[in-house]
Amino acid sequence: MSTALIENQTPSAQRPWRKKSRNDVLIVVVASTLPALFCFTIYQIGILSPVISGMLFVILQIAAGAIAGTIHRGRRGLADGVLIASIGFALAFIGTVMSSVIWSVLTKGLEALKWQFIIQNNEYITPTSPLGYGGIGHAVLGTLIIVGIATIISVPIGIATAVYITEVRGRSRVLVQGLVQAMSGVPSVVAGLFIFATLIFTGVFEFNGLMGALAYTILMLPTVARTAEEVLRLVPEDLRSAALALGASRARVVSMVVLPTAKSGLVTAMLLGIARVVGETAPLVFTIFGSAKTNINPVEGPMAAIPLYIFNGVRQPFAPEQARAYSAALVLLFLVIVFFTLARVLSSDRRKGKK
Amino acid sequence: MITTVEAVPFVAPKTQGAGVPDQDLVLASKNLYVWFGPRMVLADVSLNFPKNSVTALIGPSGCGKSTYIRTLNRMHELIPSAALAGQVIFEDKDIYDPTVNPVDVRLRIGMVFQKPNPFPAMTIKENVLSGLKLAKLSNSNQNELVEKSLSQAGLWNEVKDRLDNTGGSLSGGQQQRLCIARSLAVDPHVLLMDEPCSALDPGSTLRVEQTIRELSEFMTVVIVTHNMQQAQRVATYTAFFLLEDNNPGYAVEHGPTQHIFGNPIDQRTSDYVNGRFG
Amino acid sequence: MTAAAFFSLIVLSLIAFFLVYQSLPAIRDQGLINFLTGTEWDSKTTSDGTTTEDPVFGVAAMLWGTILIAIIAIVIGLPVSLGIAVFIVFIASARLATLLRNTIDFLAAIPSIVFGLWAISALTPVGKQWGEWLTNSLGFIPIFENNLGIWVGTPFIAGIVLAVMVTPIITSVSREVLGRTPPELINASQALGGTLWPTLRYVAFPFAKSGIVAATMLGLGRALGETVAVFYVLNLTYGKINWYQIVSPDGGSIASLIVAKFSEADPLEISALLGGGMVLFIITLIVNAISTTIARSTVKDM
Repeated sequence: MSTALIENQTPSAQRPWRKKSRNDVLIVVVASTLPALFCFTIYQIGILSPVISGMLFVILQIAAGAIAGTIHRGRRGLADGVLIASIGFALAFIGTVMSSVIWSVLTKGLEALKWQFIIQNNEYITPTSPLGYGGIGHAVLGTLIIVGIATIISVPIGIATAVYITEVRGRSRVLVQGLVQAMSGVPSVVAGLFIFATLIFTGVFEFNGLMGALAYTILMLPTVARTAEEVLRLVPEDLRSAALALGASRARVVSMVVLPTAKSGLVTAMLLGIARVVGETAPLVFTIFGSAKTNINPVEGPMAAIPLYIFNGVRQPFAPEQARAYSAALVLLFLVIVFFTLARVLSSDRRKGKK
Repeated sequence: MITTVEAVPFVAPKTQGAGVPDQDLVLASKNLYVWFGPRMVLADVSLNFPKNSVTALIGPSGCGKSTYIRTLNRMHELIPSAALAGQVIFEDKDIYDPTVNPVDVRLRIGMVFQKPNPFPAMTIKENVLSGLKLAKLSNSNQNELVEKSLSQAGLWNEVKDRLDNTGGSLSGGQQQRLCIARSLAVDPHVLLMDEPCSALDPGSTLRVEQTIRELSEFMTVVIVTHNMQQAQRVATYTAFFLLEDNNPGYAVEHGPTQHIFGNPIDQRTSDYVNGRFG
Repeated sequence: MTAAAFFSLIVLSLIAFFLVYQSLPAIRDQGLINFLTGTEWDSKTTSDGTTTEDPVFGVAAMLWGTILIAIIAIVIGLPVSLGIAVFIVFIASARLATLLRNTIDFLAAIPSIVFGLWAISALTPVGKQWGEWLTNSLGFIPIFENNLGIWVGTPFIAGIVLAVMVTPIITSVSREVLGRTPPELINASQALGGTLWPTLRYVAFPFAKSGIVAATMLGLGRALGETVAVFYVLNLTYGKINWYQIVSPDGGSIASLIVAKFSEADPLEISALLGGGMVLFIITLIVNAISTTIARSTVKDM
């Protein structure tokens, strides 16, 4: 590659390191298709069992990566070739799973998903009722009420915890951080059991929506607290010092300066908290009991919620009920995506605003 | 919204100065242009680096000196938006030729960075030998290699009793000499140094300069520095880089160090080496 | 504010207190040792509600089952997560890395009940087939033994579901710690001729090691406590501990046990189930504490 430069003429930008000889391209193409072709042929002929051909494929593909790397870069290319082939498998695994999850809920869930399904309740519906009748309106309402109450309880406590961690210095801060971390590790089934053991098993309350909301609170609080903590940390120290220098008290600095500055971030914390719990099933099994009727009173009588509806529906050995469960899962997934996307959009807006 | 402006192509003035004899060159760049994304940062740099010499690259901040030496051992291409045109000839071969393996280039042309960066998880000895591991080279007599490299870097006497301590236990200047020893262990022919003393105290700086002079007896050194005295103390040749307005940087003047500092041809070189700007 | 900050302390203490308190009747009835080492779980209540024999409640089979599927989840999930994290940090272009990060975060946001449905409808048929092939091809290896001829409801299938669920957790933490490898160290490695693998092996992994261990423990904690995603696809077997036969339909899971037995339990059995919940709570607390300690000591080192 010799560039004869004419006087006064600027050459164009190049990336010689990206240049691949035809040989290199050939190596990559052969190395990434040959093992698959070979193993597929073997499998079709039926010489080896599928598991052996599958394993042979993995081994051959990684070996092909090693050989391609060695041809391309010598002895040093070997490990890189193996690594890249293995990473390819990891990506393929997660890609397959992801599309399979969405595909399975989508194909099975669209069948029963009609307008009436979202607004009607399930009162006169049996597991064998045809799909044109009944719906999960009562469960949607129940989920909104339960999540709403959990939000009202956990957001103030979560933000207060975050303020404590970011504004109060000293050893107790580390302790509180550790406690929040520990609380985020509480399995959801334990959260439900705890509410059951304290408030229902002891006879203080019956199964009702509030109990579900309390169980959700236990799961939601750490998420809100940790996200809010991150957000509050982003508030510039100068702002705090400036307000303090003006003679404001610590408490006033927090309420007048820190929290308003971090407002959109705190909304993100709330949304992430909601996304965390809205699909949780296990805490509800022990707390709200489930219901086919519409019940909007959180302190009186059993309540329905989408996750619990799915949980019970899919256990029924009847096709219509299962179809309804999958449709409910689709609705639930939609809700999660809405909250998740909202949180994402808000936080990326904030980051852009910062620049 | 991208408005394409047909930019007037920047033509770098010819590099002035006495230059460097064309014989016995180890490394040379020919008409080298460098880009980050659409922005050209260096234009038409042609410099020669003779065998067993020390060349200092001086110039104000941001003029592309560091970018330039990173093109000399193909570290430049590791930045995603990087691009380049021109040639870098190392021992009679263009290092950007598609048949050349960048790893071989980086082994023959070592690099020492601004901030001492020994591997924190490794001992002093392991740090010196890390190049062998990283590039999968074999060496039968590792202890000898450790002693030789550390001696060449002028560190052996200070650390010979604590080779199993971590690199982080050394002072800043010692760490930097450890990084030099680490580069020497893979037997490079050229050593590129990117402001190797800017993070060091004056005492350590003098110690490292001493090492550089010793190294130049058997290898070629290219050193980027902001320190005029340092350039005069260590360098056989000096090249002055400059960027003006929003144009790319280029090499204004290149020649023996005493010419550049004693009687420079270009007025700007004179202003810079006499501390009138930069 | 201080009260709010210690709300989590209060909740954690209350959880511990009430689970212990409410499970005391069952533990007294069974004896702590029997409760922890027993494998049977039978209220001995007939369909008309009469009890003829003394009930037996032991969590050992369920406890080991929980650990077994969590191990399978980590064995599959950890390499996958590391592979993706390495790809995002060291290989992918900025745009591709962002896309992958969002995909992984989205995967983390999918509710476990949805994974449960996926496990029933999509994974079980495939997992059953794989299990059968594994036994037929590699049945001489003890872990692939299957004496029952049924490959549905195996720890293998439950482990795969959990692997998918822990992958986003391990990936995002490992991605972060790998991404924190100082660029000057990576530069140094590359300048010494280190390509991708040597740079990872000698520079990035030693740096990120404890972070990755902490991430793995975090994933383990999640896998141990997962309920509904496992509930449908794992066959619970009482009376013996299935130590290693992962493609045999003999599983155990404390969380699934609780959900399965809860609705028809009498007060004594509920008390025993709460005891199971307590065991699960303590184990996850320990695993998470280890993770936090490791993560914190790393931060101090830096």
